[in-house]
Amino acid sequence: MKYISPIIYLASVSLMLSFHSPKLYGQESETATPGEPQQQMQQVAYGSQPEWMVTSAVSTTEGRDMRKNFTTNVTNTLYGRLPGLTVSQGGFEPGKDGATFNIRGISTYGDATREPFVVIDGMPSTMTFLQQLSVNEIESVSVLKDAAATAIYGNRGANGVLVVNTRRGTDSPLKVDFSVQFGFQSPTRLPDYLDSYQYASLYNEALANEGRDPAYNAAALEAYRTGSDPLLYPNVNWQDELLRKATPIANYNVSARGGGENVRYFVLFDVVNNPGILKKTEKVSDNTKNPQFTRYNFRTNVDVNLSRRLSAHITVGGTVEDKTVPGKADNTWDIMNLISTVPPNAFPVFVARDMFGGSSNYDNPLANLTQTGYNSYNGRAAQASVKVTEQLDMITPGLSISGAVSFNSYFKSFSNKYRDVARYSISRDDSGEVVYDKFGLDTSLEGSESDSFQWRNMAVQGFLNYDRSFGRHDVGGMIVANYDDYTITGGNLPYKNIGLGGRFTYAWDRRYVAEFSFGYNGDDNYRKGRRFGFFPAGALGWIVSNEGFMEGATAVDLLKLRASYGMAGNGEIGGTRYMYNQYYNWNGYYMLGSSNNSTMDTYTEAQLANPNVTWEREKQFNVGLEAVLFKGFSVSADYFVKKRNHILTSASGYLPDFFGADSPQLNIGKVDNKGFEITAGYSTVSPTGVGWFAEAGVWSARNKIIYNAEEPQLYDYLLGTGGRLDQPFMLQAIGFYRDQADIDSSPVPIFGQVRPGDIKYKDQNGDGVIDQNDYYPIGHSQFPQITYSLRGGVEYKGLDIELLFQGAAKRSVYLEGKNYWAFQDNGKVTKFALNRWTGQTAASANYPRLSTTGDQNNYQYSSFWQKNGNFLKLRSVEIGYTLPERLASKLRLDRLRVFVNGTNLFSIDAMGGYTDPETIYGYPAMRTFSVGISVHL
Amino acid sequence: MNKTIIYLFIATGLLVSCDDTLDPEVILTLTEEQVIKTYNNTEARCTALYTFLPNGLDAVDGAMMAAASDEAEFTREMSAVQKFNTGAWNAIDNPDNKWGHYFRAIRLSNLFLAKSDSVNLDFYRLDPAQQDQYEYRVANIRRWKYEARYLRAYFYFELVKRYAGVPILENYLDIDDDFSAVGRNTLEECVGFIVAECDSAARELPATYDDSQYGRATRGAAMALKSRTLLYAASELFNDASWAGGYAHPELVSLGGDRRQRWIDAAEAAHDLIEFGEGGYGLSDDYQGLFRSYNDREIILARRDGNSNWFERRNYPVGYEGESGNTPSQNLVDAYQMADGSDFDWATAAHAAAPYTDRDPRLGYTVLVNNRRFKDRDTEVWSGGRDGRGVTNATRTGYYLLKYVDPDLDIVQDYSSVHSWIIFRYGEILLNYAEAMNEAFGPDDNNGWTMTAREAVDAVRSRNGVGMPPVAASTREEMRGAIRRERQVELAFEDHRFWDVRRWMTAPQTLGVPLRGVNITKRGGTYDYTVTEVEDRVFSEKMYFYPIPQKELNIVGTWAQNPLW
Repeated sequence: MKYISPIIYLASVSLMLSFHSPKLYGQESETATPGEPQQQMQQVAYGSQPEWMVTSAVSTTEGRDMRKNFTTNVTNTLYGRLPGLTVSQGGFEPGKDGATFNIRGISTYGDATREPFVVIDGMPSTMTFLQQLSVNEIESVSVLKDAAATAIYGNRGANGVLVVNTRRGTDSPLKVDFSVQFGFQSPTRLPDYLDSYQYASLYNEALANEGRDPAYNAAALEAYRTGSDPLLYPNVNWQDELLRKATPIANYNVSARGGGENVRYFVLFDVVNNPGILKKTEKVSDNTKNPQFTRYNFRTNVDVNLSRRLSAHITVGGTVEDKTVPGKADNTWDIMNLISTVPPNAFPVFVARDMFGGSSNYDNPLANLTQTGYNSYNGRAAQASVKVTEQLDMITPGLSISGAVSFNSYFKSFSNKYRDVARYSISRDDSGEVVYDKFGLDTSLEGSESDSFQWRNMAVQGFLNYDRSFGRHDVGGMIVANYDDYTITGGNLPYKNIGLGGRFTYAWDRRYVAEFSFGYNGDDNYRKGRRFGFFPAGALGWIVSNEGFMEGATAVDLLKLRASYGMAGNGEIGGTRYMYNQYYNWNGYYMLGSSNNSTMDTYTEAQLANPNVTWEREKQFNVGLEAVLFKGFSVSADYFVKKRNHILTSASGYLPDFFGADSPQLNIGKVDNKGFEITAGYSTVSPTGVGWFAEAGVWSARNKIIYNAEEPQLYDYLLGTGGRLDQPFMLQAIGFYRDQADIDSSPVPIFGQVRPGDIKYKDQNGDGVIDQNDYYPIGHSQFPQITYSLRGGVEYKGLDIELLFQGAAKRSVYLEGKNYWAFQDNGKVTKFALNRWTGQTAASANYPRLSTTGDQNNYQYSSFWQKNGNFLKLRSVEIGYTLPERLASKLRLDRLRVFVNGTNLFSIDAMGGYTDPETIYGYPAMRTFSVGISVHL
Repeated sequence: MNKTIIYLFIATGLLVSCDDTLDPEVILTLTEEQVIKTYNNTEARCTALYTFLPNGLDAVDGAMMAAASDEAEFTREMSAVQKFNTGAWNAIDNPDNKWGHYFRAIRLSNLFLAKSDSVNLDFYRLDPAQQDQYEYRVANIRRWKYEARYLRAYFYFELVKRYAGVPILENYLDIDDDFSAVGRNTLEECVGFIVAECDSAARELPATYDDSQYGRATRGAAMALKSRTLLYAASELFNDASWAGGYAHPELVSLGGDRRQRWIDAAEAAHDLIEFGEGGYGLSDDYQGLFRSYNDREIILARRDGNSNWFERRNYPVGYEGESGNTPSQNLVDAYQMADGSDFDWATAAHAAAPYTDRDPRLGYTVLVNNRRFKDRDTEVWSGGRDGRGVTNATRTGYYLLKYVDPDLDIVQDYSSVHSWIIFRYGEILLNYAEAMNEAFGPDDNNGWTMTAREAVDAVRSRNGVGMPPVAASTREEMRGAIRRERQVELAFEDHRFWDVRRWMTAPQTLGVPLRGVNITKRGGTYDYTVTEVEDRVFSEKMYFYPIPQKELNIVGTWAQNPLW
């Protein structure tokens, strides 16, 4: 098992040397307009350029490909689709399932944002808004990676930029698309908890290990085994009581697009619904509502030519989402946590009619789910913008001016009802009578409408554009001025950003391209006079295949080399805003007075100010190559070096604690980050009509801490400098203690008394003691250094098949907490612990000696609990059949396609089938099977 | 239309050129300039220092310090306090590492002292009709400085009892200062500093406050800190570095000089407070209620809080919806004498059959034992009972905590009540006096002062509501044992034991031996009690003092670590 994912990784690398296809064989491009052949356009910052002219590192994927992943969150459709973009799975609970994006890995630490700047339809936005979109309204998503692509965004460009465009109208007759997709989701893997008999047996064993008397006698064990007395000797599988085996997921979508020379439009209505994995609760209780999640999306994008020179682009999207979670929290974390805690024999679900089992220590999961009210919220988002462009050909041909304004608003309001529920423990008294003890109270439902959350922004942009060709000269110029402010709930002032950007491109004979771009912008977070920064970048391109000497090289359709160097910044540095001021914080009340009658305010010095606080800066170098060979074989490769500095860093590493103040955050950190992106693919249509394509990509980003002001250590291996960000430092487990003699002859751990079967650690410094000085850099962070993907498809006579694999390598995960640590915090035991160490299993055990107490030695942060987090997942597979046109037209349809889809079907990894490597706790990872039909009218 | 666009473009361009657009519209958090100028915020800076006083109800990761001594076991196994008992602590990981906490408090005290003269009182000063108000405010600012100095001395005491000699900082440090130039002061200097600050505070602080300010540091509090500091300074641990095995810097961990004079000084400091009539101090008549009060005449200084019930949630028995929390040990329970003044002994059949009958009443006020009325039923601490073995999170010692606990609180309904953490009380001062007098003059020599050692300890024993007979000790050694036992039971759970056994250097025999509890079996209407070992405890000599945090050694580079760490 452990070799499978490296093998597939190698296979993908070798495969990538043989194929590629950026475009799907023969399939009609959704944006193509009839008429004269257009040059292929590539998305760049604030616009697009002809593909041949692009000298920066940019990748794009299209909405129609993303739609092959069936999920309620658009961020989960991008796994493996964009070279340089690492998508980290966030979870599967509907409404809480946003993934995390990182472009070219991670180059900063601390509180600074690691995520890219998000631009939607040309206007500044955030991940929050992106998650509100339906995948069905997306035209394309691009990542801008190098400094030449992002410098124009100034102090928001250093983490890369994600540019999202929604679908727009076309100059074509009205086309209506209607599609329905319906399926079922079920957990890929659930923790396997032991039943009461096994739990009690292992508990006795754990007690015996500690030299304590057994808690369960033979009669009790027998009762658990036979289930003869389910009231006093219960055996409850809480997963069965609370979770569905499968939950439906559905999407309904209707859209229309069309228009003419003067007006073009796209409209959409989209619904997605997924109630999630918790059981329906309304049937069994009047105190709650069923779990559910539904999102509705509306969109109207209109492009109008107001006159021969004046055009307007109106973009309006709206979202309404409704979510209900039974119980007291707005997500399932608490309830999933409770399921993973309550032992199977703690109490029966009910001790009598309408009396929930329970005890002083544990709530009853079913009672909490069905009897304690519910949380529900309604979220409303509007994303609207207008852009007006005037051609200024009368001044000089190719000149135009534009202005744009956008308003985005997201408001989420809660309408919750809560109550408490009593629970009863059950026991027999001396005379054998059943005795009930009541814990908690039954109260009546009380409503709360007070919670709400909002996020809104306003942005204004003005552009001056110039594009013209004179003979062999192609000239492009663009200047943009922008202002935007953001308001977020929580007593913050608006976040403001003001900037000027420009890009100037010159190409000669379609062979040589030179580009200069810059961003100059300011941010309100800094002291007056230190708010603005200048971020220049330059790039060169050479289209070798257009050179005269290449004319004979018929095998080479395209060969382009490019290089760029420049600067960008990261202004979202985290920490206290306006930290150039020395603040005093309110430190709570102190009570004085002879009857506690004087409530006194207290103020203390806050974190020390950093008068010179500034944004992070990054210099990035990039070289790239693009080639198309033998008509269908294409390769693209980029290599980059990013050098980030001015990272906000606590000075606590060189301030002793007797200094007595919270260390200031200074702009002193430095991180380097190097990596590459390579994709290769092949696509063809055979003479027999079989079309197929295959594409592979691999991308890597390896960072290195150059300076982080960390505190001096006694041993160099304890230092993070020179290592990678988020590198785990942990004890190195080297097996179990065999026997007392082994313990006596080994270095002494300071974590308390150890016994045979406990985890033994390596004494890294050789001082005979195992302590924090023996921590060692082991494994990787949870963020993968390498992402790879494999995509392929076949089409033949209306039948189409497409698959997408995504994998991650150089990644570690850490297993801790209730699902892994037997009996921890009075918790339960999973199958994970079955192969524990005992005197007899010493040779084969892979789990330490059981213990009922919080074992201070075995639960140290150590490599024992660290697992290889590499994986390869089948993210999507879709098989479709398109009705031949003859038949479709008989039904008065342009096109009719039926399909079956599988999303997230399986994962190959080192988790032993125990859990998903990206979703370790809580709401489980889900796989989805669905069927769908789409119709073009 | 195109004009509009041009205007928009130009307007955006203008915005860019204007730095002022980015100025924050309002300031939401107070800046230092604003704080130091106003009278109310200056008072708030002084009051803030009180929030750094210890709250022993929640000392280490949810547990009381008692659970790190032979007084108790904390029920939650994963609590960091258990590290003290297993020995799993060191210079990198110390569950009670208060170094940063108190040095922060000391910095804030120094900042207050350095920046309390900028208050703008012109509104009062310039108005002839407001001169009274002006004088009142000026006088308060002056007093706050002495409060700050007193509290700084208290914070130093908390550091010295943990880390021995520490750097004395009378001014706040600047970020550009050379920290390697800061050295550890000797133990002698530290004790001298604390005592001198107490003396100066005792001259300037008021004996009492008016109703609204009651609870601030008083002259009595200054005298009490001096008494405790000098008692510690006279004790074994602070006068003998031989345990440190040839430690190169004995001046950091021990004092020199005339040991007997130290006992006399300690006795005199306690005596000054006993004789201090203005404070109005005396022994409380309500030993149980005292620990949920803040205005009893026995209290000299207390850490105050609002109403709460988290302490009950944490320490109520499991059968009463609590978490069992800090459970008293058999080691402690056995130290309580019989009501007639004789010792309790398991070997005596009558004692073993009814171990909680006819005991020192303070046992009943401090420890909740089996089959005792609590709320609406009797406790069931026997195996199989609702509060006993077999129930998850039940006590592991066979006892539950009663001291500090409000037994009448309905935590299910989420009611709350007053809690406070007494830092100094009159009873302790009497025992400080008894201990120092006994060492200096023996049990029955009053040195011309008001009380002998015996009279002081008997006063504590005979308080109303306790009424224990006088101690039977005759020699100094017997009296020493009696006083130590008296501190153990009278001051149980008050965060004295952990330090007392260190300064007496009896920790190897008290903290280094197994913690005991009791197994209770119910037979019909009677109970069998069997003493058991709850857990092995670890104490080694290096633990007499905490290690200096490793970070400080790494950064400063020249400091000596404490002995044996």
